[in-house]
Amino acid sequence: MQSDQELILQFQQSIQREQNFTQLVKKHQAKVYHQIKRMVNDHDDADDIAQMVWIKIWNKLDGFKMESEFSTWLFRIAYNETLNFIAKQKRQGSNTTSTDILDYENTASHTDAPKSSEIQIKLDQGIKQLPEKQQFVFMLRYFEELNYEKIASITGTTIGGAKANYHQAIKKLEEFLKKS
Amino acid sequence: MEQKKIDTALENDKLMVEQLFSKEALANYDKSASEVPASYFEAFPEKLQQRIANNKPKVFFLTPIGKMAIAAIFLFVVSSTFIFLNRSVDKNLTLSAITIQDFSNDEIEAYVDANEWIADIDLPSEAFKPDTEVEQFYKDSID
Repeated sequence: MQSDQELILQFQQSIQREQNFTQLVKKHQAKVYHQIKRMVNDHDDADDIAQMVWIKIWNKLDGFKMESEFSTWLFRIAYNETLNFIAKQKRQGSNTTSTDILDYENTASHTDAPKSSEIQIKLDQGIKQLPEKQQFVFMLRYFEELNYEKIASITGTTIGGAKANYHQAIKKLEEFLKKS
Repeated sequence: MEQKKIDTALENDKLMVEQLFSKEALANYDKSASEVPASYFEAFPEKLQQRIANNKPKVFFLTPIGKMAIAAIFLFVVSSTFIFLNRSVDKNLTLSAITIQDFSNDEIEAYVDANEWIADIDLPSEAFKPDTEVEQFYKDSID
């Protein structure tokens, strides 16, 4: 399998642009989609944002200078697109995520769900009440297991800032658990 | 050594969360994010290429009449600019070609009569007269 760098170089030299771009998509699509889906909790929204991200990549790939890893750049675009989408939804007054959580909670209580479901609900609610940036950092660190240097590049902060975001997220989750 | 340090830091960070929520709950959270419709990822690249193709800026092809209209406007702009510039050049040439012989004696006399006061003034001596302010002198001259 060709490396990202090789695929990008060939794309930039107009050698089988579509094929090389498709290879890049195939390599990275799942990770990008999952990260977006963790943030928006809806397949259609995640799909739409993922498409927007890849269209941006297509339009800007000719100017990509490979000063950073392709995946870092890709996640940075995904981060910006996701936050823009959430901000737009907030402006439009859409509140689907909180409704989803309530539905989930009601179902769990009606069906005498085991205790693990309660923890699950609290985890979902706890993550949802975090500011978007902290949510994103938390997920990149915990689920994607990225180092802070990469997280800092993606979110446009310093390494210290990324660390602080992760630890603040955990602190808030802890406080949320205590309150509930 | 460095890698081991990073791994330990990651383990510690993950452990902080796992102390609050069970590993199972966290795994379930991620599992729900990973759920996708059947063959979604297989179809995604093709769907994306179609969307990119639709998003490409449309090339605007002109009809023959449109092309002729644009050519006519272009010719009009170029020719009117050319005519305008040539006319200005002609005026300058006419002005520079006028000599003293082109004026009649009456015209020259009328001009001299109208501007006689300039000829009468002895400029250097007026300017250097004692107690004479140059400004006042010019004012008077103009009046």
